[in-house]
Amino acid sequence: MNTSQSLPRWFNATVITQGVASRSTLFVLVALKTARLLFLIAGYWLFAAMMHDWVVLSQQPEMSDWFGLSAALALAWVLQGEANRRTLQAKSELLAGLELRYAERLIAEQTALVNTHSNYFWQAVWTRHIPALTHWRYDYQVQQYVAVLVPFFALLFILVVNPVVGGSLLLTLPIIPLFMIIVGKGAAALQRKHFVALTRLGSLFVDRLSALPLLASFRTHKIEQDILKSASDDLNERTMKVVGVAFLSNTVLDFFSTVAVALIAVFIGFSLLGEFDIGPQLTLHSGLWLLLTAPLLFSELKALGQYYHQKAEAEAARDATGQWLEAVDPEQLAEPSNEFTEAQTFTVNLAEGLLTTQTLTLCPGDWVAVTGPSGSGKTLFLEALAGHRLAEYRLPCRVAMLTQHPVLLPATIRENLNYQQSYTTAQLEKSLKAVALYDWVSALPAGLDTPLAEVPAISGGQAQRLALARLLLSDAPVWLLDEPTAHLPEEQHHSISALIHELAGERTVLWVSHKPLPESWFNRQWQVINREVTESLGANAP
Amino acid sequence: MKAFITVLLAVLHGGAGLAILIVSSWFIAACAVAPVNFNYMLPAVVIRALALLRIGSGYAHMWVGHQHLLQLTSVLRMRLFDRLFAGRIRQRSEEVEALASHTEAIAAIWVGWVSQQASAVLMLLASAISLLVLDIPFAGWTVVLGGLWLLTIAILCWQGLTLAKEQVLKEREFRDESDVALRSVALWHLKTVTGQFAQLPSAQSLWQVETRQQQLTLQSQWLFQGLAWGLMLAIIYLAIHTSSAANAGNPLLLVVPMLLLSAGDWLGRSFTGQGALNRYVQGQRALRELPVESLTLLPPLPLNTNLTLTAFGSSNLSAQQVTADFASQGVYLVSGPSGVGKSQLLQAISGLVPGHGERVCDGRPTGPGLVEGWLYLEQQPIILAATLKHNLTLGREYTDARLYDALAKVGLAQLTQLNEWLGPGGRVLSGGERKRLGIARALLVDSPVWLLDEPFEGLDADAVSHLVTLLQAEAQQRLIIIASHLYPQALKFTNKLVLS
Repeated sequence: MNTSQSLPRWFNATVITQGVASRSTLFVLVALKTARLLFLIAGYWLFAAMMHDWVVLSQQPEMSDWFGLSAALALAWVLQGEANRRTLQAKSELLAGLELRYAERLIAEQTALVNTHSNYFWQAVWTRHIPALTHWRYDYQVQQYVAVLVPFFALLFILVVNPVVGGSLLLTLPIIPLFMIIVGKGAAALQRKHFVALTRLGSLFVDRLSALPLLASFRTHKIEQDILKSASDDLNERTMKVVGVAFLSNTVLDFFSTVAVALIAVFIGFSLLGEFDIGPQLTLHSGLWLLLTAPLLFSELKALGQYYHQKAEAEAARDATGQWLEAVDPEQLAEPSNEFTEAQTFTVNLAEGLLTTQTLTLCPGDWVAVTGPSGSGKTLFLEALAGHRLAEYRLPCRVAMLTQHPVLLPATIRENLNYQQSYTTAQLEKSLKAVALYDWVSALPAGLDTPLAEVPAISGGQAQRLALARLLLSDAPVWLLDEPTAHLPEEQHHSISALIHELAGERTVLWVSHKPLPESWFNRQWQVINREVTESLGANAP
Repeated sequence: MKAFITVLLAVLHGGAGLAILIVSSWFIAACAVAPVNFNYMLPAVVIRALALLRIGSGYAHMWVGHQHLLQLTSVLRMRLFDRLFAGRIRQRSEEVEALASHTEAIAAIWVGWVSQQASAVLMLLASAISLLVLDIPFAGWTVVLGGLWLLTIAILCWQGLTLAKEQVLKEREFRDESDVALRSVALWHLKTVTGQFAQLPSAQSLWQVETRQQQLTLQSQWLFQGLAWGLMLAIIYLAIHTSSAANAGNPLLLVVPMLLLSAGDWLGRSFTGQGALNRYVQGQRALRELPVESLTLLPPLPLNTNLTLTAFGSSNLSAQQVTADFASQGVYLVSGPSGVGKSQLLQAISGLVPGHGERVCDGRPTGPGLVEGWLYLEQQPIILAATLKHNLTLGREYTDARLYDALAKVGLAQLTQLNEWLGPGGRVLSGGERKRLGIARALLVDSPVWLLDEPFEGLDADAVSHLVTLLQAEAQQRLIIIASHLYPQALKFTNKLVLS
């Protein structure tokens, strides 16, 4: 994850491909919002003209001007409505596009990805990060363009109407970003200075809330309360130091926009009185128009400031999702076949040296014992073979995996067995008989339709048998077993292992185990040591 | 008090901005038709003063508002923490984490919503009253504007809060659905790829509610903008078609059309606060409905002769019925397969979770509650975000020598910096180190009962034998009950209780 990459660059490189978040949508929004403001400027012109007639010439405003103003404002209003509608539509489309990307990534990498973080983390991608990216894209980024284009046009018109006012605005405009940068740097420096304190103190409240049982056991609730109190006072003081400077950035903008309007008003007034005589002759018409148009030089920049939090949230989204939102290679999502007929010779190399292998051979019907110390990369190897990690090789067929902790859904036994597709009751009973659970299930109040939540404490062995029944129903020709008996007591390890051996039948089996298994079952031995897989010849080597 | 200053400053900021625009436009109109003895200096000074007022109050509003936000957050958090004395929150850890943002959202109502609405109301009131009093042409139209604003904002609030409720429901639904899907990730591969896509959770319905929420804000703002412009056009239309020649030439004619033309700008902020209001209401609800389970705290019980359990068990496991007798010294083992309720039993003995059956200490029933000094040491002890020293002492006074001694006894002699920060932004301890730190804490308080949950898991062989020696020695002075499904051969114990 490259956090130094700027947000727009990351977004362009990762998200904008294959029609997701197209640039044209963005530019249409920019055009609509800019056009709206241009109509508004035109409206101001007509408005000022009518006020001139009314006040200075003491005559009724002209009806043609009224129609013109009505048309300009109506257009500005309709464009605003259209921009709103399109913004929401673009966001919805981007949400759907990103959700699909995310779904593809999850399905391509499965346990290899999902097990790296908590469920809460993955849910936050849906609930927070993906929406944050859409807001940033269609509010913040659009406003960035608008905040440049609108002042440009406004200034252009002002220069045409009155070069003196326009010229002085032109001179002051570059000062604003300069000041904002200086203030921003100052705030960042303060932030860095207090960074450690801010992070530590900021997390204290949640930290102590999650430690309530500890505080009760050791009777230190009151002590911690005092600590929290002084920590939060300290935190507030430091935060105020940082934000006190950061707020100046807003104030700079406020200062220039307010002073500009005030000075323009005074300048126009005095020119009208004849006190000043610089530049073209001013009238109430041009003067009022200038007064109305000049704030547009600043207002869009101010509006950008209101979207500022969107940038921070989108950066958090970038840091959390990194490269996952890139399009997934369609091959990784191809439906695998149900046949495994040809002998395979292959190597597996994962990126960043996570895992390498010798040239390995696997024939249909092989039984492979995979051994190696914990942490050596056995699970990585199985994940790569199943296609959940990007490598140059994956098994060319459907696989069925069994893990240490059998997964049981909070549903009925029937629904648990029907996970991959619906089977007949006879098929389900046959598989339950095979794993010696039939009597147990028959004795339950609702038999197959008993919700697992209502089953009195299912034991680890029973759970693994149920998982095995599910495996039997699968038509995958290869079984990948990742220490299925690791958490079971000795006698259950033997009975369940024997059951697996008996039930696997013609299937090809790769079996990772720490516990001893009869060597006679296997015709191949693969060893994983220090992230390298080698073939060691077993007793029954072909 | 600070809250009102915050709001007042916001009103000043908004009001000054509006006043500059109105006074400026009137000023230039007045200059254009100036009579001979027109005093132009005073309005020019007023305009500049208003500019300074706006800039100053703008900064002060942000500063005071933020300070108030921080202080109020802190007060709310302290109040919540106080309420949680001897309690535990029956909620998932992320919902506990969310309490931090909930308290902040409640405090943010002043800067996020009240300020905007108050400035809108006061600006509308002030302009309507002052224009009516000064008898400015078309002054009555500002009252209409105020009415329209009130109507729009009322609809927005009402609809927005309804949507916010729906959003909470959708979010809960999504969490439940996605929890099941994510927990079963190890099974996904059994389905066909199409089947996998179908079973993945989708946040679409949640996002739809969020989008409708945004739509509501945008549309009400847009509608109000249109209404204000409509009013302005109507005034000019009337001016053209009714011969109000008496007024023509009066610079004050400009005032009301200007107010209406810019209404979308000076009242616009009042529409964007809806999110803050929603978060406030949600935060209030979350705090109100926080499921807190309070523990009864019992005074220290020294345990002189024996502890007897009769048909005892954790209330969470009704089937648990343990009858056993423990002497006041020695090591006892509780074993059995994982998931059988060993941890629950230990926690019930300490009183951290309520129990059923009888718990009798030295012949006297203890009654329900958490006994001071009967320490339950969990599998993964909680490490506070604090210094190493504070993590050991938990705020009590000990000499450094005692702390070093305790660290050495549990095999953590490598931790020598008592002031080193542990947890986020500091040193992260490994699972084994955390376990041993937990035991060091217990050593320091010198308690009569230790209830250790899987103390050997994740330790290497050296650490295990070190720990066995320590436990054996400490068991001379206290009762140590160990729950474990794997225990070292070297461990000598008085008795073993097998749960099944």
